[in-house]
Amino acid sequence: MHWETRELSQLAKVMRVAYVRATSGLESMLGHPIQIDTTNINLQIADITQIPSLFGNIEATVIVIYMWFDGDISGHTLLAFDRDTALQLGDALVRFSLENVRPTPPLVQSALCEVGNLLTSYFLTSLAQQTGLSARPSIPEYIDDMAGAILEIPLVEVAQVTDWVLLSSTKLVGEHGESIGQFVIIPDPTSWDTVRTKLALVESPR
Amino acid sequence: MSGPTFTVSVGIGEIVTTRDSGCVLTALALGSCIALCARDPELGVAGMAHVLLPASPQCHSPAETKPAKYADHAVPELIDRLLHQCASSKRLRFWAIGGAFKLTGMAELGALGDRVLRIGELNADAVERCLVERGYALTGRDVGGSVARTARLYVGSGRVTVTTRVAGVAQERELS
Repeated sequence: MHWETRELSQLAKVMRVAYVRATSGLESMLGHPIQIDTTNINLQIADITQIPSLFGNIEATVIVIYMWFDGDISGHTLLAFDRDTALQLGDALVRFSLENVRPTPPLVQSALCEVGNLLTSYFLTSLAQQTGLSARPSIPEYIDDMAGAILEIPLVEVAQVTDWVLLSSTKLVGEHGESIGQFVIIPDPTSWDTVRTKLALVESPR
Repeated sequence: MSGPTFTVSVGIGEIVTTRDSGCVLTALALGSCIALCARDPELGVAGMAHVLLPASPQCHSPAETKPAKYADHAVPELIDRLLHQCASSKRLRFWAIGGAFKLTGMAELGALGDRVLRIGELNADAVERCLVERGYALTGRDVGGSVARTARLYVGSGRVTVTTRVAGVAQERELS
């Protein structure tokens, strides 16, 4: 896998715009201060064996909202929190949205799924507006298990095509700028070729 | 008898074999992957392969840096390495761990369902089929379901353990 620095720089700009849109969309819908740290867009070319440790300790229990998208481009998004943070955040979101309602575990799960759903949907919409490439997101799936095992889901898809992957990983920050989670986007390898071609056309219109 | 131990983590696509009785071969957080454990109980030589996918594409070269990426390469390669270390083909015992189905709520996703959702099951079947083709059978297995597992093979004692985490709490059991 070879990317020119110029191409990565252009891709980072597009991703930043999409992340900013996703952050503002999330805040307007939830009214809760959750932001993507757009000051550091991490684009990483990684061997597939590095994927299981993207969230740190492979064996640590995390809560992930997993979504798949398909269309002109396809791939995976994973919104990851450590367990305690996720449950606190879900609890706060339920209390904010539904006054006088006790945050039961299904409601907390639903609230966290909605965060993943909004982030992914706003991100893909912005990407489509910038590139003309559309993608439909799946329903969100709530997974509570070991980090490495959850990350095998996109890994299996990528590994059937290549041993290298270009992925994007950003931090999610709370009200006081504290790190509360991670948002990872792993497009299928062929989708990057589609994006690259499209960006080249956008950059050099005839 | 048990002495000091040390852990060797067997990563995705890797095969590790050893005769060091203090070694604990470990495959962390298996989802759809399979940890294939093998041991000759008399000689104490043992090995582990961390399998990612069931079958290699036709154009794939077995000389790749990840010898256990595909089950059809991993199984014969693990056996050959153990035999090379003087293990007896008649005494070798095998255990398979992993092959989980992680996306329980997304079965309606047709294309993804076909490719990803059944990978764990396909991996488990492929490992077992490749063993049978070489004349071996599994001594023990803990495969399928929807829960992640960590597999450990204690080279010195031959213990094989499986650790899961339910609601963040670790639970370990021994595979016989």
